[in-house]
Amino acid sequence: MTIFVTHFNFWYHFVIRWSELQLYKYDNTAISSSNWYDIHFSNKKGILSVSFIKIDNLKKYYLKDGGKRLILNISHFQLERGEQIVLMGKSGSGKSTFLHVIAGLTKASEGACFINDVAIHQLSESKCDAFRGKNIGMIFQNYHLLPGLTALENVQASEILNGNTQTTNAKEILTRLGLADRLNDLPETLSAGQQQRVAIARALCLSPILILADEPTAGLDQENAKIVLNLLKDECKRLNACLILVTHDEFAKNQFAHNINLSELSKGIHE
Amino acid sequence: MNKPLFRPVIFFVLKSLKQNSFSVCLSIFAVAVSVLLVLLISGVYQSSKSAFLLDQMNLNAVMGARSSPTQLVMNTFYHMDVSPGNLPYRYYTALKKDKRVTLAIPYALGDNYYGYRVVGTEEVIFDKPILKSGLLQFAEGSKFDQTKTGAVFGSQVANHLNIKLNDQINSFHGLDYNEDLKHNQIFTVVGILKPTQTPLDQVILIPLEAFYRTEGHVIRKNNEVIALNADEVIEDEYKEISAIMLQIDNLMAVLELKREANQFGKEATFAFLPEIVPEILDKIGWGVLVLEFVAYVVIFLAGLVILVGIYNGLSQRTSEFAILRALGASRKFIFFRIIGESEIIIFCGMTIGAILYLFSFFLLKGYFYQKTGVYLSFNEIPSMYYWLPSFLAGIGFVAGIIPALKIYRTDVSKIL
Repeated sequence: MTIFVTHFNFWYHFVIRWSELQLYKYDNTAISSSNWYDIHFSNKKGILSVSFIKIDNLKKYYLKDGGKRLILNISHFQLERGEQIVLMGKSGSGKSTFLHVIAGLTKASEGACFINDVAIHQLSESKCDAFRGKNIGMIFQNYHLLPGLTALENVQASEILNGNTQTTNAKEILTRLGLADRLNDLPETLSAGQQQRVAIARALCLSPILILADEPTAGLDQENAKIVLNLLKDECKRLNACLILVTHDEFAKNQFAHNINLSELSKGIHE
Repeated sequence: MNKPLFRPVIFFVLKSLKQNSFSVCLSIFAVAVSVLLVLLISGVYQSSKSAFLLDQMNLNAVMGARSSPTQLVMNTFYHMDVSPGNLPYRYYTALKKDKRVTLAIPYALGDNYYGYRVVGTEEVIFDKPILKSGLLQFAEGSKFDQTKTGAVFGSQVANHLNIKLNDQINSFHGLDYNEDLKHNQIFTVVGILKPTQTPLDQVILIPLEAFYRTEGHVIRKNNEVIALNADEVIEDEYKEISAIMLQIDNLMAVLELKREANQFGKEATFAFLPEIVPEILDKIGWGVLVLEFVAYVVIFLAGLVILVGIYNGLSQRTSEFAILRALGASRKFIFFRIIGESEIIIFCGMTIGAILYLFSFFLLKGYFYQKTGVYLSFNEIPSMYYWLPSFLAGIGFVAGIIPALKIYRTDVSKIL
């Protein structure tokens, strides 16, 4: 037993230290704790506006064939807390990239992006992950439920990942979304509409301040699409969360009062 | 902003292992088998090193007919090789009186009882402390009378052949059992020894006199076989024995006796057990090294199985990891999740391998004891037992690190 404990301790500390070193090397955007304080509270110094989401001069390039290809070019964009908008655009216009930049899944090549006064573009990757986990709920086109996990576990996964020890919220939210009798079913046994509802439950379970939905109604019939969209609208209203919904589905667009065309947004127009 | 790592990692690792249970079971099996092999090879080798020295016995040398010391030791101590021939009885009488010798026991071999060796000896074997713990102890009955035809059974023989006191037995000629070579001489079981955990548990002790008088055994006078009358006393000068088991406490005496017998003498060979056993083990040492090497190769292969298992699954799981990142999982979490998978497989394999080893060791111990009378024990722990867990953890780390780094560097925004 002593031998085992000694070996465990040695490897545990070795792996932790090693990975921290690797992360430090990899995470070249890491910032010091004093910088983190400045960014977090910079609005108190009068640097930032009070908008819930604010994007300025944001550009995103992708490297292609040895050159840079501009995907996103947004001079100005802002949203207030609780606003719900639909983002339209042609395929390949950068809608998903826009969501990924806001979520911090990819870094903007240039410009600034603030959510609730937090400078996403300046956060280190690990801090960005933590911020996203706590504050942003993401919903994807193909539901992207975790295979091998039941509906309940899929929702709990989000809570466990973000350090919540109480997972009762998962059951409650699934019940509210009408899946009380499918808690222990695997994703593949659920219908498309039910899978998307599980995905919504997963996005909502940590009461996020921002929901990013990428084509949430793709593959759904109008009846199910309407259910899903209404759920999203109602839940965002309940949580006073912002909703940015990306779609090219006219039906989905018509369910919302505000919509933006990404090509117009790139010119700095916010309808 | 720091998020807990341990609980989420364990939660997802266990879910993933459950999801891929078939390949995980295969990997665990591969690790368990390799651990079993490594532990068994080194454990049995290390244990036999001390077991073959027969530490429980107060006999550490042997003098027998001219032959190789290894053959002499194998034949007399472990009952494994053929008898190299006979030695005049006067050697025994001389050694018995020799002040350099603490203890001398005559040994006459040549008969068996259903494959177990029958040893002709004298009462001295019961009267002197031939075990470290003292005299031979009887479970039932008592020692034989030198002038009668009593037999004392070792515990294992008695148990295996279901021998009871006062049973009548006939020995068989030769060291291997052959029904056609049954002697007419009847021996009565007068005693059954308590287990000694030495090769003595596997022999039947009979009086030397009775051994000589068993038909088929001959007494030579001037190289001519003479016939013995029933009441005729056999003179010592005509007696022969297979060997004399000795206890010599003085190392100088060992060197002297060795020189006298092996260098200047022509009839006898002297063998010192602590000198011969390492020689014997060294001869099989190469084989053990090869086996150990094979076992390590198997461990590496097991590591490779884990690596391939995880790596092959990566393409299917890339989107899964991307979703986790979108849900707030850090790269560190993804990294530890993959490392955790391989480490848990290694840990399970190691645990199962260790349990299998304990089980196999006990089986092998019984088999070894039954075949040679040598008692393997856990007292001798090979040094590798201390570093094997770390070595395996390292293998698990290496097996996990390649897929972990691949995922670690994946740009999730391109996948979602």
